[in-house]
Amino acid sequence: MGRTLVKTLSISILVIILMTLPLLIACSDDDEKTENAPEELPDIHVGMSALVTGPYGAYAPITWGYLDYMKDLNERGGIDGAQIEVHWKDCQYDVAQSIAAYADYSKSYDLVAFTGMGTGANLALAERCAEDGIVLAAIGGEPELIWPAQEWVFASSPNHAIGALGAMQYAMEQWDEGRVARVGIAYPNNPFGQSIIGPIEEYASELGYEVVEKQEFELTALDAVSQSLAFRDDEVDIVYVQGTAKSVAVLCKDMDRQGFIPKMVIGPLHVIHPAFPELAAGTGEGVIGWNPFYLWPQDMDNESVQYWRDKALEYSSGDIVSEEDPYMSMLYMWGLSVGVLLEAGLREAAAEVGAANITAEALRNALENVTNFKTGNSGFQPGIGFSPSNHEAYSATSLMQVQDGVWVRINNMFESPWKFAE
Amino acid sequence: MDTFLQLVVTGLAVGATYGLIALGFVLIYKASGVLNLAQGELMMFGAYICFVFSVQANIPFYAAVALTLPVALLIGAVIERFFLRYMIGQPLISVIMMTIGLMILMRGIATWIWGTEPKVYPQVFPQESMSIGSVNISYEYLWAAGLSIFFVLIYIIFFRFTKSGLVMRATSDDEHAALSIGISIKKVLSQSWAIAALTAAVGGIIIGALVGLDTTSFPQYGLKVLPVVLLGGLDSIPGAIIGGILIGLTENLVPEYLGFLGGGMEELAPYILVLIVLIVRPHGLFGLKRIERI
Amino acid sequence: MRLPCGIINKSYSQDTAIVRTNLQWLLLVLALITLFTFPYWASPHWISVMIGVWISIIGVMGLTLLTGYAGQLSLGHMAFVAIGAYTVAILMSDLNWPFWAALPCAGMISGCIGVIFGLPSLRIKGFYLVIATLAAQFIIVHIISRWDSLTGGVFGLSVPKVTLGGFEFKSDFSYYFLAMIFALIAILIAKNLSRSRIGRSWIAIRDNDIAAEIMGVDPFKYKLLAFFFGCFFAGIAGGLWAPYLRYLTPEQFTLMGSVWYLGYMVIGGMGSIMGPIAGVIFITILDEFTAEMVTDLATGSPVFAGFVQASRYIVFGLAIILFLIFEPRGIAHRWERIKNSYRLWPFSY
Repeated sequence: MGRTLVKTLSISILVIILMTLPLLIACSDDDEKTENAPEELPDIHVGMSALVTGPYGAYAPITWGYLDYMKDLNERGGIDGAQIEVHWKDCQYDVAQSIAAYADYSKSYDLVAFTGMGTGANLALAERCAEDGIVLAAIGGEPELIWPAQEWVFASSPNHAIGALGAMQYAMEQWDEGRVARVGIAYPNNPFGQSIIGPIEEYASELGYEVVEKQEFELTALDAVSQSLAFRDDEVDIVYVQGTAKSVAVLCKDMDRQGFIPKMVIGPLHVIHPAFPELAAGTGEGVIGWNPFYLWPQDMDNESVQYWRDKALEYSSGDIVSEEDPYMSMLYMWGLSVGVLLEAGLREAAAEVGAANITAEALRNALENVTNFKTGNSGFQPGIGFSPSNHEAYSATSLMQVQDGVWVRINNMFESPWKFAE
Repeated sequence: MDTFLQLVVTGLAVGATYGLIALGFVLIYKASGVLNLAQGELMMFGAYICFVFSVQANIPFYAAVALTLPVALLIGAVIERFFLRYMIGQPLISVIMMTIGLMILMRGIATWIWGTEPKVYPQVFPQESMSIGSVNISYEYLWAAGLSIFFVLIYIIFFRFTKSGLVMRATSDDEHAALSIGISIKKVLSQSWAIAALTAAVGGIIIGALVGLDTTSFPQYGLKVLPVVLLGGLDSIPGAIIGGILIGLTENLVPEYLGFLGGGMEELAPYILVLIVLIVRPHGLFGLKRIERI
Repeated sequence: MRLPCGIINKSYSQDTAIVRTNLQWLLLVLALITLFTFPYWASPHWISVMIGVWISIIGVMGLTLLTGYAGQLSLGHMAFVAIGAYTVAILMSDLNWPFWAALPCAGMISGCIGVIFGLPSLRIKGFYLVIATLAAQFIIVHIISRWDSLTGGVFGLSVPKVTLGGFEFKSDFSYYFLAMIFALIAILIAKNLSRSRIGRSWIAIRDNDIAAEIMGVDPFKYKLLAFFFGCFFAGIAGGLWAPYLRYLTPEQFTLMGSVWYLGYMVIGGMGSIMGPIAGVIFITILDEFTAEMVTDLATGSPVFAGFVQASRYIVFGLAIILFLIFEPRGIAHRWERIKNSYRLWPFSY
């Protein structure tokens, strides 16, 4: 029985330690934060509910891009000497965790801007940010977030509608059959998928095509035979697939097997993945993806792309850039674009009220005065600017195409036909 | 009519792969009475280990598959020895929770080792398709279906005619009775997990060859077949196969012919079907009806 | 409950009282003081974490009644939380109902739909019932994400704030009290339900439903009651989530959420009221710890970059597995054993 007691007690102690350890560590972290020595200029605080782990972990490079931009900005001397402190926490694309992180940072620090990850989280944060008067620097994605422009929400890169319509415009320029092009859309049933249907249908007559078929198409589907048959039966000329590299590859393969080769297959920026041509096993040839950035390895002649590739190598230990893996920097650039937005706003605000007095209000007003902001480091995207009625950083996109099994740039940035309602 | 035939043929072929996945659930349940929710993760491990051999170590694909199988057996045995062994005699929900814990841990390990970027096998199956009349069927699906059917036959023979198979069935039926006639439960459990892991690895490799690998979407294939496993009955091998084929068919036919009910019905149809069947036949279509005593 | 020497039951009401000794009264009062003053001394971070804890406790308490007491395994509890959340959101924004009227409605609707999905439980058991509840998870979330006109579809809908008189529960500080009071009421109701006739019938059905039927317990009635109460609590939890999150999308109510509810319960200890509380608190603290760890690892040394992405999975998976191996009956059971060995020391036999 004595042994039982010893065992009981030892396991009890283990359990108690297990339970209290996180608490102790969490507490000790709080102490560290207060130890920061005061500097001459007050720090500018920004927050982020990041996405690093969890089921959407593949989007982690967005977070790394954002953090690297801030690190680099601070190394370049910050905003007129004021350093930017980023408070971030991994929220796994989860709305409740994002809100908890926001509540924490907005109460604990004098935040000027916050960045959320995921549509649900951003929509939930938009309302809170408006109430507390904090800029929501969103990563471009769903048009619902910035159209119509909300007072406190600014998007750092073009949304899906801009990209989709840019690609459609290009497709119609290439169209020479002398009849109205028939367009089929494949989309997953989530905000990402549904956000493009409305805009593509709305611009049909303006750009000169008609939408004849809409098919739901899961991102994890094993086959796409029924979608392929539907497109084939409706004699679709152009297929717009809102999907990931994997799902677009599945669709391409199945259309090929059914002997149905549409004139053009267009996908969103998620398709532009180095593994896509291989995933599609030869059937991905000619697939077009829109993207609003210049990337490596295609655009290494662009100085800022070169710059960020080196920085990523320096900061991220080969996870973002590795010599043997042909990593494509789409998501990383997406994260950088949020950094550009913040730098633009903060520099403008510093010019207006001085770096020491930047508040969220000042940042918001300054952002609306930003026009064509572009530095050497932000050359991976066009100049950005906002107005009271337009909170989208820019509305240009460029296109890439699979040629001989690799992604090749087929044009430079051009303005998308998408127009904001005034 | 052409469309219908095409969809049926595709549904059958994809369904056979689902059947193979379902078989993994049935194998473990038959031997140990455990519903293994980590089946999708076992598939993922098998698929990624094959990726390591075939792409990273540059071994020809079929040799890589042959090398993967013993590793998968080992993984299954290790999981049983270090995790499930402690669950003997524990209530149902603890066992389910253990498989959920395994599921999360295995996802973590896979993410750690292989990252979140999609990976691709070298071209495994020929991309061309074969035409029979108006129906196109690709060699990929034919291979997948063929392999699945091959494994099913082997398992049916194993459980019906070999001693180990019979011992496993006895253990699943009543652990205590099996113990009392001198069966080593530990050995049986270890074997069953090893075999289930092997099945899962084959399923994973087939799916990897069809759509490529990534650490985030694999688990969903495991959960997708769960309703049909129950439809056939948790302890029925033919049930698993028929269930798998059924889900392949619904996925292909429902959007085409029941599309008017609203999109996404193909995800719901298996659940609605299984609910109705379970109310009429509580142990599934082919499951063993147990007589309960106090 | 085992009592120290010298405590004698003199009347029935004394025998059934929850709090018996002076020490227990003292601890209860201290605990309540700590809880009520918590927002005054805790950091904003922990206040928002605690709101989540209180709301989860209500939901997991429902699952404990359903699974821990009545033995009806449910893998679709998050769907019932979703029903509660959407009911409150729709009643408050579309029909302008006050929160206080919408919340009971959320519980009732959730409970009634729970009973519908509980109907197969009469005939199916064990793993087969898991599928019936899994079906609830998929069917309900599917309907929510497709019924655009009512629920806003995949883009979701925003939820008004809770008001009482002229006061708005706008800050985390005030919402903490709202969530805590509902959670304490829920704990009290659950505790009393579990020791009433209903609770004892549930336990009888859980242990052996045929034996229970022979003893005169109507399994159908009590199983459905278990589904009703379990889902009622889930609905209330959802109803409290909605105005706190201010925005609902179907993505928030995932299967993994349901799995986590089971995890809270198993780690805390099934079949006890202390269990879910301990489980929710433990896992939430662990969650916060791993999130901090991700930040530290990623900003500290980039060597771990590959590990960072996997870290939360690994810590969680290991926590569940180690608990099941070393303490399969949960924290609550461990707590009881610590109390007992402390009480009996040094003569434990």
